[in-house]
Amino acid sequence: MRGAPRLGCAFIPGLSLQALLRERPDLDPAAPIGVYPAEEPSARARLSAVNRAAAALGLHAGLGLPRARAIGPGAVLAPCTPAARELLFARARAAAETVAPAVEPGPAGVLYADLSDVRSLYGGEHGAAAALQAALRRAGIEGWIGVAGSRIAARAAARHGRGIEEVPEGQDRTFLAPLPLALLDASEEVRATWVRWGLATVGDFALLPRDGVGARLGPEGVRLHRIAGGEEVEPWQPGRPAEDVVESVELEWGVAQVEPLLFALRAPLDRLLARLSTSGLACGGMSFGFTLDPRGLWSREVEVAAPTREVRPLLGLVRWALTKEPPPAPVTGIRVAMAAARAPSAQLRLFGLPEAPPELLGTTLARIEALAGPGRSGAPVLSDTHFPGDESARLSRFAPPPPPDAGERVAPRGRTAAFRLFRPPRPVEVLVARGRPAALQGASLRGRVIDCAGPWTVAAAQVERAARALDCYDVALADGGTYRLVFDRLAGRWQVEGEYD
Amino acid sequence: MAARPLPIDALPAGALVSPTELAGRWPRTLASGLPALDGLLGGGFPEGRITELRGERGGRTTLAFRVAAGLSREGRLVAVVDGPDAFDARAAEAVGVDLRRLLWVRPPPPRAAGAADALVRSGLFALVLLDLPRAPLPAPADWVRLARLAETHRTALVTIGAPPGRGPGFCATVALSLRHARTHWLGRGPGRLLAGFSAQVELVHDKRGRPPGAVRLHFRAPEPFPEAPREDSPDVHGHGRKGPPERPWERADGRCGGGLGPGPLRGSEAGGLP
Repeated sequence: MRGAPRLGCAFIPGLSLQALLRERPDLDPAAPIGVYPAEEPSARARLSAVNRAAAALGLHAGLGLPRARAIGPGAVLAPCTPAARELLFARARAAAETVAPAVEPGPAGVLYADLSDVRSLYGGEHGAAAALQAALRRAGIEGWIGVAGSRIAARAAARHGRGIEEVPEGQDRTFLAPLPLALLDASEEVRATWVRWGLATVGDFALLPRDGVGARLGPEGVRLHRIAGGEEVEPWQPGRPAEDVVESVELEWGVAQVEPLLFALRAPLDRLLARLSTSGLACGGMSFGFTLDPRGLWSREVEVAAPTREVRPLLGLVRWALTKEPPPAPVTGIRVAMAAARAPSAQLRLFGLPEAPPELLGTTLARIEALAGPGRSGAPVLSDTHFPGDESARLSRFAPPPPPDAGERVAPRGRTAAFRLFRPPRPVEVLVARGRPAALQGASLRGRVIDCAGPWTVAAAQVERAARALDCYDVALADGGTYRLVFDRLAGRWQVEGEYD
Repeated sequence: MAARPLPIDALPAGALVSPTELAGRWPRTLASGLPALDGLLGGGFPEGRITELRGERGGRTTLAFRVAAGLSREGRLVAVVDGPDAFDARAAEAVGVDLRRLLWVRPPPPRAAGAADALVRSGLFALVLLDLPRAPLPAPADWVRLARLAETHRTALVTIGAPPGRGPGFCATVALSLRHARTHWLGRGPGRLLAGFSAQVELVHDKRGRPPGAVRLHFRAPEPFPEAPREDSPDVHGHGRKGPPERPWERADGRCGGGLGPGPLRGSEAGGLP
């Protein structure tokens, strides 16, 4: 039996400060540090977090930047980018997912994890909460954990416990009662009403009759009243594991060459693959955002033939992409997003040949694509056309079916000869005698036509393409080869499509 | 004179090999389905070794495709490294290759050997067909490495297109030289058809100890308008329209006529071509 739902809340105190320290390892954590959002102009920016040393100087969150400089001239006041905050939060989420499969992101710096089903794995609620905290710590993130029956109580327990705090089952209302009303996310209008009514704590509000609250405050009042009573009003939306994982790199000076960029990309790609591997996922594609010097952004998408967890083929693909189209200006920062893809699993077989190991196949295809270039490898698929030449087949993703059960060697029957295409077809000049090719001459092919068959005509008028009409001949030349010679009636030119071999 | 007993204890380590291990060391064969050629090769192309098909034409691609067809129909994976960009998927399918199990790689010419290396190294493919570009060709050290990889991963590596003296040479276990012998036609006058061609295949060397020899092979021309798969076809008229393809060269009585494309090839299956 599942029992009452129990939610764990992981609160990351000073999210922007932790993100900054992670992004700038040169900063001394013991020195006074204040963080402000990089997206705000520095004249109007306010501190979003400070460490203990800075707090001892009198700095605190919400302080304007000029005033903070005046109060603590020795403090380091540094900006924190949204990308760094997102990155830290994504890491925290990935760490939480290693403990509980159902994790829901909450407001900034808050994650909820459903511990109902996994607490027995860790020896109870406290064990699960400790495992959650340890997972965050392993990821280099300081987190406070609270466990309760509702989100609001779990969040309050996490924020106020500053470690691990559990609210006993069925005691959410009692736990919330003495806490200030600011805990509830209410609109300005409702807050003003609470002040007029003289309410100060969640318990004060919860004691009011719900009908009366609904009559005076409307649906929002009823919702807040239920939350104050320790009820859940929003459905649990754990969501799927993270679709994309993101890493960022800031470069000290602008880099314009491809190889130094690849060197800088190696570390974030390694980290991204490690993060995906912890969830049993692989890389299914990459997108890059390059910050250009002096300003501007340039983005690039790189497709991967099959999910892989190896960094070398991925670097090869990036090399292809950047060599083909280099960044238009020196790069000062790189943001890499890796799409998560499920590595296909193989079905073991009792009879017949084993299937190709999917991970090895994916890695090999990625390696081949890095060597041959994007879109230059795959399984050939025949097109629905009788036109000879290049358009008779196209490449598709190589996903071989499992081998048949009765794996026995089957030698091919018949004696059909193969054909080799010339890509592109070789243009030739043809001497026609009595309506038939008598000799041909081109850049790499020339000779007297010894014998000839044809013509047979292929003609098509298609909606999307230009009309075509070809007269095809099989010709044997004096050099011993047998070729397919084609006359394009509409273009009025001769060309050799290929050779029988 | 009494035979002296074999001093087994005095033999160096590894000198004695069990029959089972010896059988494992001896390469298995991949049949081409052409009895004359398979007889010449003692069963077919060697597995886990390099086979070099020399010559400018004369059925090199056909022979490689035939081995690929047998393996892919069995359920094993095959790969084509298409250095000169000459692979014709329709021809491969006509020979019998299961295209779903064929990986077609179209590398830039300098990377053809590297692509073959990666494919053989993966150990996933039973056959890698390395169609060499005109330039640049793999260095001798590359051939040594490829031969060792092929043996380790039991992958048959078949090379075609190498100019004389620039191919795998003695890294190849089997070297065949192919030469176009004769083109065969069906009928006379304006309605004549390409029936096929004959090729002279010579076994140049075989490290397995097969004696040199030669055979003559006959191949028939593919149908110019085989039934194509029907998929998102635009409005096509003539031979490319939807529905069964029109074959004006086939009369109701099954005999060839009309002058468009080849008809049944008399006597070719029995090797009865002149």
